[in-house]
Amino acid sequence: MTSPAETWRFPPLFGHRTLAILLGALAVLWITAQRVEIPRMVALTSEAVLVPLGLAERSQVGDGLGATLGQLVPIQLSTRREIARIEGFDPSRLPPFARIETVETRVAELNPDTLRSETRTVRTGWLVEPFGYLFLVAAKMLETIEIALWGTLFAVSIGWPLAFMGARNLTPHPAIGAGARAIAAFLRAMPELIAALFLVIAFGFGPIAGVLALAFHSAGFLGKFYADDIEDADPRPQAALQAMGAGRIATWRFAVLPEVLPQHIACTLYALDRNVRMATVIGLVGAGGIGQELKGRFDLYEYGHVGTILIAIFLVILSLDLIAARARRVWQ
Amino acid sequence: MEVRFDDVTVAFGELMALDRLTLEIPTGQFCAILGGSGAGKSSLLRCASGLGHLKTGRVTIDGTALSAALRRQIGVIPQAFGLSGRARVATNVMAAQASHGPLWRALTGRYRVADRERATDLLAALGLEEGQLARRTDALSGGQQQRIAIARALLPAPRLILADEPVASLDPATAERALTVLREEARRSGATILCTLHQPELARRFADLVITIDRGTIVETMPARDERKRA
Repeated sequence: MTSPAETWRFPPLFGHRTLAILLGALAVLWITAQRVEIPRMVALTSEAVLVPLGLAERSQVGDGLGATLGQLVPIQLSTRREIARIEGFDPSRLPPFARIETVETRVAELNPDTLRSETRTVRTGWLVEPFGYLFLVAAKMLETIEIALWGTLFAVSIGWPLAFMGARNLTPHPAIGAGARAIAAFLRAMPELIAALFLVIAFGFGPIAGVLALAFHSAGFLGKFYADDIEDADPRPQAALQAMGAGRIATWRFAVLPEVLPQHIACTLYALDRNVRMATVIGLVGAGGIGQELKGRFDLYEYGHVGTILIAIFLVILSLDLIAARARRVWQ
Repeated sequence: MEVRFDDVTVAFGELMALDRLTLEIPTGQFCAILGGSGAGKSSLLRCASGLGHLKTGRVTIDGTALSAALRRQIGVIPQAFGLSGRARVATNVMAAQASHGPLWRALTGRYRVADRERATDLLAALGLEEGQLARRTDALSGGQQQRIAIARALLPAPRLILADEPVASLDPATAERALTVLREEARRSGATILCTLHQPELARRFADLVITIDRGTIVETMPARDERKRA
């Protein structure tokens, strides 16, 4: 029945078929590289790298980037408003850190009586808040985080049932599974930005459109990721419980959930991270938050303000990452 | 419960795991199945729990095919334990109770006092300790996990127990202890046991019926000679 060991054939690490697939993939990549202008990208980028090394004289990319990035600094922290335009201004009750600056300007005017040009001094009061813009950005950033948080919460509550119905090992019927997966794919296929455009028309400017746009899209991808995790879970605990008559919910709770919980948490935290970033983008179309502010400043060429906003977004994403890493360590 | 295998064939490609096997285990019997690795022991148990892919024949329990109601009366001890490694020991043991009684009790962890006491009694009888209840299951040794799987299978007082090498990871003394618990529990509820083993002497000491299989067919059926178990 068994052949002697010296006649055994040892399987190779990879065969001709793998090699052929690899070469085919390379050929396809070569063609697409021409179509998306990869060679030009390499040429322009290397030119930009060579300029600071003194090996090239000028670079189109370097000039373009330098012109705009240079204007982001110094970043804008303060606000400065003319007191005369502030309604109900009370100089005895200034906001924290604020001070009043008086600016004297000499204005040349034509006196209608004498028909002579006369100069007179005009005093204008300005309210300067040294960290005023920082506070404004912080408030807008908070709104963005809140939009992302609620978008993620709704996404979890839509995505979880989709995953439970869509995962092949828990679905009540293959047709229901296919339906749930199709719904998840449809939600995922709708980009947040486009969804937000429509929702802004429906619900008006503000955070509602943002929350819903984020919820629909991330429900789609959470539904898929949760379902994939459930399908990849160790089948043996599930088989053991099902052999003893456990139903689908009991199987999920006792044989699937403990195994997939860390992946579920990692996916959910990634959804939150992504939603904070996307919440800034959909703000561009009026769905609330920091994005609305960013778009306004960008359109006014106020790059100092844009710089402050970009740094704020970066800091929020960074701290979110740290929190997520800690959370994942707890639920390992 | 009476288990009948009628002309059962299970094949993996060319390999015959079970070859036209016919076997009847009467209610209340402790049936030990002996045989070398790959003889078809696990396939036999998988067929009884409805997980086997039968090429021919059929398996009946009390004269009927497996149903959801029947499954609830079966306790399964898989070879690889089938425990959720990340869950606590207590959660794994009580998971068996989820299909007995209202689901909300299982989902909220508000088990009946009687069920909780039965679980701790079983675990203690198998040599586990209270401190292990709240631990993550995969933090325990293979032998401890095996006994948790035994406790889980016995908890709902099943009428049929399917045990796939339930003492493979246990030292001789603990193995005896575990088999004693298994046999006593089965006697109390009149349950039938199908248990694969590697140790012929344990089979003779604990079983009422010892079956030896090789290459998917029964080569020997004999009542156990050791009468001590009837004491």
